[in-house]
Amino acid sequence: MLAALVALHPGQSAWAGAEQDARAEATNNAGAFLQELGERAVVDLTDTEISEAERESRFRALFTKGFDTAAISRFVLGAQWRKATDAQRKEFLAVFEDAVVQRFLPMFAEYSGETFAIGKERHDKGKSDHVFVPVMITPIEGEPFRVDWRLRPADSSYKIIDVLAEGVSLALTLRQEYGAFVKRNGMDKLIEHLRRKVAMGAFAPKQAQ
Amino acid sequence: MINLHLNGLFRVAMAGLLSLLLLAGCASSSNVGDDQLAQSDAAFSDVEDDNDPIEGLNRFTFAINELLDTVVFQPLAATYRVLLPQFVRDSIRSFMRNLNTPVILANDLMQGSWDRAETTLTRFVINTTVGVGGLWDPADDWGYPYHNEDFGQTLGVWGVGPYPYVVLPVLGPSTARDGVGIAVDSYLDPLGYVLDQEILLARSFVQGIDFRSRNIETIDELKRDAVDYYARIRSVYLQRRVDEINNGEPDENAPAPGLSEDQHGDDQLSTFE
Repeated sequence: MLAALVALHPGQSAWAGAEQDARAEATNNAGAFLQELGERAVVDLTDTEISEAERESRFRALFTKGFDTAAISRFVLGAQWRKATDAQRKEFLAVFEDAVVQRFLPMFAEYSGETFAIGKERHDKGKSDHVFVPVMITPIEGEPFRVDWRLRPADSSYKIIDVLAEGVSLALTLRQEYGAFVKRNGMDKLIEHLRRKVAMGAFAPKQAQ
Repeated sequence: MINLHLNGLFRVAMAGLLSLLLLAGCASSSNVGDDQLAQSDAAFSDVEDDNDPIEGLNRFTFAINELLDTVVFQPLAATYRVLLPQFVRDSIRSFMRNLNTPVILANDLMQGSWDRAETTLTRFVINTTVGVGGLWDPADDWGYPYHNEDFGQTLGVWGVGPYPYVVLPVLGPSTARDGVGIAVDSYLDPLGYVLDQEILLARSFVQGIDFRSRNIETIDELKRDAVDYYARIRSVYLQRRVDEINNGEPDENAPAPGLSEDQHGDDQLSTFE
């Protein structure tokens, strides 16, 4: 499900509609942002000349630029976020970013030619200024699957605020899962637990272990 | 989900128990009348009220299922995958899917999805003839993709909410509604009246193993970095059901980052960004 984030590769994109008329271009700004982010990710991160440390710092930069990590963390921790101290929030953001780095960075080393098709973007009806960009990903082996990206406008561009794989929201799943944990053990324990998992390499994709 | 064929008395007993749970769930919810809200509220409830009134029992059943999976199902699924080439396993799945047509068709109709019913019927005709008894799926290439429907989804479309969450022995995550759905589907299936009990069980078993074999890595991933695997599965299952009931249409009522009142205030973080 989380292989979605790696599948944004320039040469493989195909617009869902056959033609690209002016209207489509005007309303597909969010889609364009996503595509550009993906292209940049591939160029920056699959470079074989750079060191691992450099690769990681580029990844972190792209991640903080492309994703609204603050809003996602607020949502994932809900009431706990409001009660948390600044220090705790910082710690959570840090370990969350570490987990994402561990999970996704290795995938850029082995992009294997999945195709993806960016569909027509869709605006959230009335409730907010969010935009959904549907992407259909076809892996080399296995069934195609649907990934929707929820973006919100930010500083004349966009930030990704959620990723949904076949209808399962990453943010919501983490919220319900971490929420159950925090309810029983408190936020500090969660941060500690996540740190331990990162140290153990629990987030790394299987082939990298 | 596995369409399990249970013998008569057990079927009735399970349906009865789940119906009681279902009614209990209905009585305690105030949103049963409004389709989408009923789905959303239950599936996306806050951690303070996670729609899991029998969580203790559920976690216990879940643990047993996990043990069974580790010891029996996962190894079997892995062996199945190693022994049988992809095209054989695909044929098995196509064949099984074709046999499920009556149940899928019935549920399409009960939901009033005429277009989808038509697709289901067309698939059946094409795959049974050109696809040689359902062993191949040319219909998919010709623009008639497979979709699954079950009575749990039908109940969902009719406005029944997914509470309470129930982990069924062997069958795994479910809800009172979906559990009743499984029982009803087994009554709807014509093959249930024609084939022997052992054959029906074997069929369910093969379907289960085939499904498991296609999800070995996915499930491993879900397990590996989970802080609370039980809660994760509960969340994923309930969200998937909403997605299935809506046939892939996004749920406008789903909570997400950046929506509610406590989401604003980027200034809260600017101090340490």
